[in-house]
Amino acid sequence: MDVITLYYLVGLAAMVVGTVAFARAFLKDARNRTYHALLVGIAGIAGLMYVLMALGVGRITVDGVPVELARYVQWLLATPLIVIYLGLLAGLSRRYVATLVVLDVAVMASGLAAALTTGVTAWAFFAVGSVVYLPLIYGLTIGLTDSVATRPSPVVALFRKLRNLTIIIWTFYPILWLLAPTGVGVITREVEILLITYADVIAKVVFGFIALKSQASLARLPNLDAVSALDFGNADK
Amino acid sequence: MGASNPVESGEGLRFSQRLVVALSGAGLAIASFGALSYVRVIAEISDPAVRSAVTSSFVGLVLTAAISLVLVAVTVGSNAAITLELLAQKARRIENGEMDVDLSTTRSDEFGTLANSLASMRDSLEDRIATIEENRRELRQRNEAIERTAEHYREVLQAVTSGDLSRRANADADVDALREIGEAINLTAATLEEATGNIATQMEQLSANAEEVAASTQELGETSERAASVGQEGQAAAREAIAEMDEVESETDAVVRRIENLEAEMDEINDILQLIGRVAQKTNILAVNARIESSRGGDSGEGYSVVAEEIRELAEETKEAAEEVETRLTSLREQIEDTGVDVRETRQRVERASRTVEQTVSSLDDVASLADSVDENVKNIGQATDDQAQSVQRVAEQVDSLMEIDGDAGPTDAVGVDAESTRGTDESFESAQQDTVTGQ
Repeated sequence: MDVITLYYLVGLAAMVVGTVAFARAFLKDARNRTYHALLVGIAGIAGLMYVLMALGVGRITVDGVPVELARYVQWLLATPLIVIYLGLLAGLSRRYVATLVVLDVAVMASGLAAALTTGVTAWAFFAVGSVVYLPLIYGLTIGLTDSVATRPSPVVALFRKLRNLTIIIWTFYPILWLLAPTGVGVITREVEILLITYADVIAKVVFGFIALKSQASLARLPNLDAVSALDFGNADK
Repeated sequence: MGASNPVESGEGLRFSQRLVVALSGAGLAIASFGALSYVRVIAEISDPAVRSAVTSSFVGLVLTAAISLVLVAVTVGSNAAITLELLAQKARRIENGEMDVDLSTTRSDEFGTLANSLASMRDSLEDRIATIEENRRELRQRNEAIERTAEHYREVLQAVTSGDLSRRANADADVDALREIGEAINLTAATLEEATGNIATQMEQLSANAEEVAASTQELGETSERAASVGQEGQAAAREAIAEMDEVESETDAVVRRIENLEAEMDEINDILQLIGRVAQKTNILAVNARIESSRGGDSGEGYSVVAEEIRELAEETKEAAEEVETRLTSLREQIEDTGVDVRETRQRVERASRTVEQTVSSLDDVASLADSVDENVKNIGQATDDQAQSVQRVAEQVDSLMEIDGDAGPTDAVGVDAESTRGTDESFESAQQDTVTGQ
């Protein structure tokens, strides 16, 4: 067992712990089940993909550089859930959230395309992803509608905390992509995987635990329940 | 969310900004140290493979530090900044009176303590506000109770004012001052009721008195009428007496004149008697002379002397008779004079009596005028009694109106009847007075 597999297993362990904890919360707290379901989905997908990566499934080599397809699948599936989670928390309209999700998927797809291609094309996709990432950041920060301000303050606090964490951690991914062998190759694949695993655990498990910690606050939100929460803010948007 | 913060806390950077500055500083320090280490140490490594491996690990370490720094910043720093801002917002909402601000927290750190302190401060504030509102509500209820009591008192006073003196206030108010007012109202009403009763009694008494006065004035009128008629009778009798006395006086005057005539005639008789006396004396002297002469003339003279003697004796007898007549005349004269004196005295007495009677007449006149003035006075008394009766009537009407709602209007009505009867008496008395006046 090489060290990379070990890293994947460590990441898997963290994802499993998170998934179990979020699943327990999902079963126990009926009120915020939608949120917990999203957390379970985020950590569960990540865990599943870490299993695949540990097993070496979906690992292809592009221009001599190994590319984990499972990682990109994880990002493509899990990050929209994170965006949806933040959108629900902020009480954003479905249309707004959908826009953000589209941007997010575009960023992830660009990353995948950049990984699968070489040379100028790869850099072009990287640039597209980076550019598309900017409106996503904008949409989650300055572009937020006033509906966020009408949310209960504990929810706003949680949203801001998770939003900040997500944006800053996500910003490391393109940096890592740049430094990794996919980019300039300053850091080795081993270090890259270690750091990405670290970032994944923070962006998903730590993210989820911070959310769970605020569950007491969320528990006091009658309108933040399940489907009704999804509809929140749609009436006037 | 920072943009929605309405109050910037004075000069300097906000907590989140300081956090960003501090983290940037830390990141810069790490990057600088990394660059220095890379240039001074890693770049010196001659073996490219070793250098590459060390570079990778070193950059990984720096990135791990940066990610960890972000993690710390978000979980602790950003958390603190956001929590502080939210707590500040909540404190402002409390300041604006939003007492339902949710300050509950599950945190046990300093922010939890702060939130709990804010919550207990809010609760304390709420309690105080609740206490104040409770006090205000109590005050309002009390005011309402006072208003109700005041309204009740007003009704009672109105009832008492419009005559229902048996009406009493319900003096069981919670407020001492109000209760005292209620008791005062009750006391006043009771006093008024008692006073009204007294007034009714007094009115009755007054009425009876007025009736007595009326009776007395009537009696007085009759008496003065009798006095007037008695005076008239006395005047008539006195005038008759005066007339008769005038007659007696004139008759007495006649008697006096006759007596005076008689005296004059008696004087004349006296003169005649003196003449007779002188004649008898001369006759006597003549007889004496004749006798002397006869004695000288002898016998012839004797017869003559007898005649002379006879004449002398006759003269003597005449003289004696005359002297006796004179004596008797003197006695008669004395008697007449006495009679004259008596008659004069009688006349004087009659005059005096006449004057007395005249005085009596004037006295009777006085009596009549006095009776007139008595009549006038009686009339005035009647008028006064009438006025008094009207006053009594008015008072009785007032007392009557005071007591009419009471239902116990007996005494007032009695007073009214009495007043009416008093009036009736006055009127009959006045007619009696009219009779007296016309009868005069």
